[in-house]
Amino acid sequence: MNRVAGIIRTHLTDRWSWLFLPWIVLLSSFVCNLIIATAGDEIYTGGLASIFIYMMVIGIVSVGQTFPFLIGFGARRKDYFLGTTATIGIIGIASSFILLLMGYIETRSEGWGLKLHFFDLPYISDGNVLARVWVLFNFMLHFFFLGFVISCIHRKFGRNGLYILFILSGIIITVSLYLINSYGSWDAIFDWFADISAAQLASGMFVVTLVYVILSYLMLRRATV
Amino acid sequence: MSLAVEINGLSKSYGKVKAVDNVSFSLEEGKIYGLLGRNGAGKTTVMHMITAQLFATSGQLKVFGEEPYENDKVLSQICFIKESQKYPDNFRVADVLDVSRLFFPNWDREFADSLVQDFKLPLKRRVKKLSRGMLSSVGIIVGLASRAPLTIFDEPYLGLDAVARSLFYDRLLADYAEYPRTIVLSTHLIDEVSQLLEHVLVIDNGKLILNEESDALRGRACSVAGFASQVENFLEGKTVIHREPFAGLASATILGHLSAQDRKRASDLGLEITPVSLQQMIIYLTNGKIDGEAAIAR
Repeated sequence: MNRVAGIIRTHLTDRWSWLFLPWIVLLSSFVCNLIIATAGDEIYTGGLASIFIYMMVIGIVSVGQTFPFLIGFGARRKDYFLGTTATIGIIGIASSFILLLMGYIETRSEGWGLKLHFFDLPYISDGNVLARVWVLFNFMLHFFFLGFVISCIHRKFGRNGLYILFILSGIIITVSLYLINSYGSWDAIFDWFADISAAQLASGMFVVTLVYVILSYLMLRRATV
Repeated sequence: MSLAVEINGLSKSYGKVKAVDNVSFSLEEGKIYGLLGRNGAGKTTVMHMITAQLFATSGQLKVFGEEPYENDKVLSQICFIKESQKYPDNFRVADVLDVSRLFFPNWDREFADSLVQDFKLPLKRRVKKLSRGMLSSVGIIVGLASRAPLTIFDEPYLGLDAVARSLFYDRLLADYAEYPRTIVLSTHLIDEVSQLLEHVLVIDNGKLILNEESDALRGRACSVAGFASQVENFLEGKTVIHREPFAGLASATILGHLSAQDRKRASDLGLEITPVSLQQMIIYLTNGKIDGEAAIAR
């Protein structure tokens, strides 16, 4: 356990990447939206997505930055994996509560006095406190591990591995779009999404995240420096 | 004597290329080893396998009696400082030293601080912005202050000047005397470290071609110089690993002990006998002109 704590400490030593940058990214998006909101109209914005995208970026970057370093310093691959997962877990929960708090402030202040809907969005903010945290937390986790698994593929199978992955996903997406189009199933899909709540969607995402987690662990176990 | 490392028939291939080919050796605890050889000989690959950073294709490998892969008990006793060690971009020198404490149980903060002073390292500077020499000093400081029971330095001093290198040797020896441990030095600067080494391993083309106490090794080769005809005369029946004719003169390097009789004969022939440095000897051995192991065995 001691080693896992060491990995977490090592990650968080890079305060800039883990603690400051996500909020700088998010706040700059927020400030832009505030400025636009002063024009007077009520605005619903997707600027909140910037912090999730950032999580994907840090998921991609952190493997290359810390894996060779920590393995070189004699860490076990398993401990690296557990420590990294714990780090994103801690960051994810803390960030979700901050986002939730910002959402409440936004509601109370009637959109910061400008009718801006940045943190408190319809659908995503449905449900009770627990459901809202669950949704935010899963978005953070999902995007982090999406980046992480991509980076692990690169580490284990190199550039060619990534080419194959992207070509395969390109084919899968194209074929599914074609099938959905030709069977005219778009309505059914939209209805299905409309029927499930954000919390249910988050739970589904959690399952997908678990798949990323397992895949990345299997790849890291045999990855070399 | 307990063993720090036991390697048996270790091989690593990349496709058809055999980077390490059936290497066997063991390292005793509490000695300083030199792992020598040319670039691409397979030294770094062997060290990566000892530290479970690369996986062997075949063969057995035990470190402190156990398999090192995913073995915290073993890995926490090793400190491997390699030339290619990567550090996170945002890490400052101070961050690297802070983190080291978490991974090396014997970490000595005060010793590290004194080394930082000795090597004049800027603590606040990002590792990414350090010069090559400074980057090497970071590795050296981590390697020394970790006091790991098995400390491996792979080309630790790229870009370091002679003063800093001798500082490294001094600190290494002084600390080793106080806290004995197994140290492996891999380097090209053989002459500089030859006084430090207690045992020498030479790898060439993925094969171990020499594994010997350095004391025994020092008397192993000598070179004779004089008139070419006299030299040829003297060389008869001896293992010659190098020959250098020069006009009517010649010098040759011989492997094996010279008896008192040999020495007397040489002086009668008017030949000069000089010892051969470890570095010269390894250059001759790894030049591919002779099968080193066979030669040594004689």
